Amino acid sequence: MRRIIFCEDDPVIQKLIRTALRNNAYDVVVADNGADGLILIRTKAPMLIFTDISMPVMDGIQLCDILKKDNTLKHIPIILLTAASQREELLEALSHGAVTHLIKPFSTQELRDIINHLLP
Amino acid sequence: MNSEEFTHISSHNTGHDYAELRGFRTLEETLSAIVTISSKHFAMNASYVSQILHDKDLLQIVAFHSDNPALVINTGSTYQLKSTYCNAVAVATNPVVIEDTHTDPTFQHVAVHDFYSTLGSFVGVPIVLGSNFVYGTLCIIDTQPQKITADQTALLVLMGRLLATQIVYDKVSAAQTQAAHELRKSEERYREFIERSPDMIIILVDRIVRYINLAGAHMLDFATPNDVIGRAMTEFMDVDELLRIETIIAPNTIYSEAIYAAGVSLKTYTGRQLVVEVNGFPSDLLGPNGFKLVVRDTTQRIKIETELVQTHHEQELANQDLSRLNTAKSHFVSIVSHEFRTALTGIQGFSEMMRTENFTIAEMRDFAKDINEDAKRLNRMITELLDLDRMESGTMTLHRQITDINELITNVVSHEIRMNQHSHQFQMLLAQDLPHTSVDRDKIIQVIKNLLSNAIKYSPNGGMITIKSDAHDGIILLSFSDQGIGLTPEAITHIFERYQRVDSESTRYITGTGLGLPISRQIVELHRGHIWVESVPEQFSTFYVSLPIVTDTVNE
Repeated sequence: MRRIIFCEDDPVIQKLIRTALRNNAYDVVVADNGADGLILIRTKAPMLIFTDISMPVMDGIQLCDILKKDNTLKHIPIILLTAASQREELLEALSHGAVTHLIKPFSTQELRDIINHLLP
Repeated sequence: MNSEEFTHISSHNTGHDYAELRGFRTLEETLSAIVTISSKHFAMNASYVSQILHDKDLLQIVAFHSDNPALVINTGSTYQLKSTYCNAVAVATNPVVIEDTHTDPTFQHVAVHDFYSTLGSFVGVPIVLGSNFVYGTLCIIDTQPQKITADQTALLVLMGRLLATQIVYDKVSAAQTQAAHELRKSEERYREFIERSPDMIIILVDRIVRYINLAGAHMLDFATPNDVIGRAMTEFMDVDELLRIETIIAPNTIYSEAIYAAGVSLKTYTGRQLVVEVNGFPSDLLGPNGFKLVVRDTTQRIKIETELVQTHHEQELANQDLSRLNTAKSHFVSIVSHEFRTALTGIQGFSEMMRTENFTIAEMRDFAKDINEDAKRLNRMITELLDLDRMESGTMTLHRQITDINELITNVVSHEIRMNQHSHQFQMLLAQDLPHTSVDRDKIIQVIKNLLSNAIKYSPNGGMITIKSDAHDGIILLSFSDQGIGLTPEAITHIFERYQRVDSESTRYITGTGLGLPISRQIVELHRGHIWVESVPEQFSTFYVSLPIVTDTVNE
């Protein structure tokens, strides 16, 4: 089964993601922060990673940096989930290796479209 | 002097003989007296005094007296020296005596001037200045040959010497007069400089003012220099200051250099305090305790300089504040919009799905609850923003009620424990007999909630959260301690300011508008209390709130 790992600390958004993707053929795994996410990524070999930027313990940027330095993990596409509104902020975040981003508040349809596009 | 005046003087003095020579001051007076006397003691027509203009080989008549209207020459007239009998006189060591020009061999072969050819007799002596400078001649003349005695010649020699002495004296005194005049002019020039100098120029001997210029007198609030002269300088300057200047100047006396001392205090006659610069000049003439000082009033300059520096400093601080505020403000806007967008994500996402997809009633209710929570969260943040604005602009009023603060704390903490799962332990150390006090309950609850949620938020790894209450000296003291990430000293200085939330790698994730502490401070200060924090990074933070115990419920 195609597995997607989400790193997101907001419980409502976690629930939204689970709900939005429950009818699709994906195994959705959610971590509360980057550190928990990293353990799950290493053990569960996801095909896609979504990560929030501001999270406790390890934020999304730190997670990107670690993943892109790891030869066994750097091929996994990362999508940033961000509430960053400023272009500079967004470009800086993307420079850490994410393939694209989804700006909060996002449409659930948009979320599905991105996944379908990356995991045809 | 012309010959008429000369004649006039001589006729007046007839009969006084040599007494006439006494008391003459000017060369002209002496000359006229001598030619008159000379004529009188020779039975001859006339006498004259000449000056030899050596560089031009001319003879010039400087004084003349004649009893013979036919024998007249003008003073000031000149002759070629070689065409006069005086040419021989000038080179002779003895008087030249010619009793009869027609028979005397001396000038037989000299082509003399017409005037001399009219003379019958001639006696001349040189006027020698110093040891050998021939100034001119003193001569007695007659149109007829005359007998001349040795006594008469000796008298003439004496007269010549007298004249020489007078001329030398006159030259010396003229030179002296000129020198004195020059000196006076020069003195006047310098005196004017000194008198009109805008700086104080002062001479001290043994610390007594011996001279001061007008500017100096005015600087010390006196009308004239004379009001100051004779006063002790210690009236105007501390002995220590004076000693300082004296010791700077004195060791350098041998170099005769100006010595400079700035920032010297001076007290005027009326008690004004001035700050002056002193340039000191030692003076050999004034002795070891004499000093010439140039004192410049720098009070105004220093005041302006200080003000400028102060203004500049204030402006820099203001600029720094503005720049910091500006950065903080855009940071704040970024945080607030981040929070808003996060809250909106659930609202938008769930409502979108509910609109287009099929869910059970139970699911719908569950999502609606989430939407509702997020909407309230948004509203709360907006309210916080507006509250802070109102409190900061002073338009917020308190609705005071006599309140048991312990009860408020217990309610907030138990609600927090009930509503959320925690890895924290909560410890409440509340004073049993805590006095009730008049506060705005809702506002104080807001403060307690803020401080409690901060303690939870900023100790993400759990630990003990301790809440204490106590009362002493008319004050209720509350404290909220956590074992969290703590605050740096820099962070502590800004943490209660709006727009400030400590931003670093370790706190990037912290959610909330960052308005909790600024709002809490505003609420506490509206109650005339204080809020502050003690913290050690990576160890703990303790927030304190002190509230004065108030028993009336007058709303403010």
